[in-house]
Amino acid sequence: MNSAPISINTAQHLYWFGRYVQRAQTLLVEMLESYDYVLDREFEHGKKLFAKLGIEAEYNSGLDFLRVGVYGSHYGSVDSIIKMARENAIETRHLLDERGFATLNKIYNHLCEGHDRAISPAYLEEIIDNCSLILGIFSSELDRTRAYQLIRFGQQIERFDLILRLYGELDMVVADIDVINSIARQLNRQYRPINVTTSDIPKFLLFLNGVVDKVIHKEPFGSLQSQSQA
Amino acid sequence: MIEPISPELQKFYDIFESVDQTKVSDFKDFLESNAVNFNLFKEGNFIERSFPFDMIPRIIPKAEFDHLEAGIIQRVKALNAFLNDIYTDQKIMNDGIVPREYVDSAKGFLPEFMGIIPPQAVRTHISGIDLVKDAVSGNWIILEDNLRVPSGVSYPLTIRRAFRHTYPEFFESMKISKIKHYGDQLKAAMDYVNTGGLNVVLTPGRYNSAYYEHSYLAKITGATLALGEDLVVENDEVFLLAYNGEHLRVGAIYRRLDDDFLDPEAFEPDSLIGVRGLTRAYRAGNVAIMNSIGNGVADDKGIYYFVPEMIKYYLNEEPILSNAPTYLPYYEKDREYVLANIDKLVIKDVAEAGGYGVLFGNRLNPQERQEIIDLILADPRRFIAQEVIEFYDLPCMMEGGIVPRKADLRAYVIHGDTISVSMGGLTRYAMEEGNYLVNSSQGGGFKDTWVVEL
Repeated sequence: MNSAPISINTAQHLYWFGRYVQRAQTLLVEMLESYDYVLDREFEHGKKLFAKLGIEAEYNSGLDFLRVGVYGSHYGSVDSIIKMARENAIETRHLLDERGFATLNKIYNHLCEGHDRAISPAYLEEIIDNCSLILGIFSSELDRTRAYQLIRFGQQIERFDLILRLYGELDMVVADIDVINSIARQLNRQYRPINVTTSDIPKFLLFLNGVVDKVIHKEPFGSLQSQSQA
Repeated sequence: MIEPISPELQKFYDIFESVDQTKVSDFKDFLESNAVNFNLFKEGNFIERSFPFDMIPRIIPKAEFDHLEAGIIQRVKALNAFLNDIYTDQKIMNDGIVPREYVDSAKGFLPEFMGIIPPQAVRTHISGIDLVKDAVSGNWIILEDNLRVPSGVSYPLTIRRAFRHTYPEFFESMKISKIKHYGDQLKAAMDYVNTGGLNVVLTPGRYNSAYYEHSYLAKITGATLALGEDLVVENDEVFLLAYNGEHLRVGAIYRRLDDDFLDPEAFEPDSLIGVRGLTRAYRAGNVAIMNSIGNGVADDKGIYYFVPEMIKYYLNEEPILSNAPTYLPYYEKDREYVLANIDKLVIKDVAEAGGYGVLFGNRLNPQERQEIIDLILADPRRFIAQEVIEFYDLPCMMEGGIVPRKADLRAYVIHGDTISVSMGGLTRYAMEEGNYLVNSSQGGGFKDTWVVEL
């Protein structure tokens, strides 16, 4: 495993790799939950899910809901999230486990090939399993390389972000804040642990961004600006 | 003409008969799943594509490779001596072995770097020597020396591992030379010239056709993969901008970009992929740049003509391997011959690479023929002409059977404390029958190269 020092660009890509894989996995789990509602309980449930993520999307059936979630022309589609995850993986593949990289690339290839294919819940479950495999590889307790810590850092930040956006549960995040503090401290000795002092979720999301900036310095940063705004 | 089947290749076929041939498709799956790409730019579009692979390896008997190895090492030794000489004393020019005007007019010669001696006096850290096997004489012939940024080594290294996993039977039954030490050898070469600090692989980025290779080489050497913007020069020293805010000194840079883009301060001012001030650090002896700045002069196809003379001059040895018969239109006598025989020659633009700027005289229509004649007359230094080498085809598994395709060999040479040739190399083949251009950038595919001892 390459344990050489990591540049700012590479660190950002590792961090975003962790975020996007986590985002894809969580979104797919949520979509499958919603799918059950859309089928026979609450047709609008899927729209509510999209709305929580700032997405406006229409669908005309349960399967169409899944199709829109995977291939819809919005930034939150699984297709575009996996594409972003893969871009970050390509940039950092020298630091990644080959099996993890290949698993993600296979998901990407299948999604690229399957634009005209019907989307089934089983297919989404398969992607969820593969995302879990990828995150599992990089969460191995035996591997403490900085590259994997940066992926875990991104994964945790994304978890917090999604918990707040989807459930609005600040308490769940506060309970886990030491996880972030611990990873951040390992990544950057200058980092000082933080406490949550606000109950305002938008403020807390901004605060989280500040935590990231304390761990990964921002310059140079050109190629990553659009990503961090996504 | 297809190369006759050697006992070593026959052994491969015999084993292949006994294995599960349906697993051949595993290679394609492997290359696609792992995005083992050699990307292309076509009409301004970036095309991400797997590098086409043919599973029948080029097999070179060990004794034959030993001869090649000796000739290649001899050649790289002479080329390194030549580069050191022309950037310092210029003895070979003063002695009239290589004409001064030929060096001075080479696009890759950078007189502003005269007098700079790189760490350990090594300039040709990683070379790619292109050879073909002449079907008439059966001899290996050198076609090109690539001393700037030769690419391709990652592909045979990657596929060898897949081969061992898919078909262990070959490796159990045949004595195939190992190539897995390449990463260690490259790292040792980096360490050898390192001036104190990190080893870095400098990449132009993800949209470079060989980006897969850049990341692969960083992985196997343990070097940091960096973009130009990740490095900064302070007080003539190079530093990596680490994510945690530290500036870490860099001692060796394996750069995977051409001189023109390396430092906007010294070369192309609009370069966005270089490192501002890098050449200052190089001049000050504070960083090793691999390969050295200014190597393009020895890559020049016109200078290629003189390599056999360099070997005699610097090493006092006879060349072990031959050049293709080459003419320099720069000289009147050669020019007359070239113009009179253009239909049977290959014309090459000296500053081009990757199969670009290569014209086969027998395929030119009258207008194209006249155009190239006019260009030669206007700027004879820009071209060389070579006799067409009828090099061997190799068997390739295509179109549902085994078909012949032209193929060359790129041998990889690492110059650290010692000079070593990777015991394999990249065999490139043309996709179409009768096509002599095998370059990856021309859409060609690749094979692994096995050095086999019976």
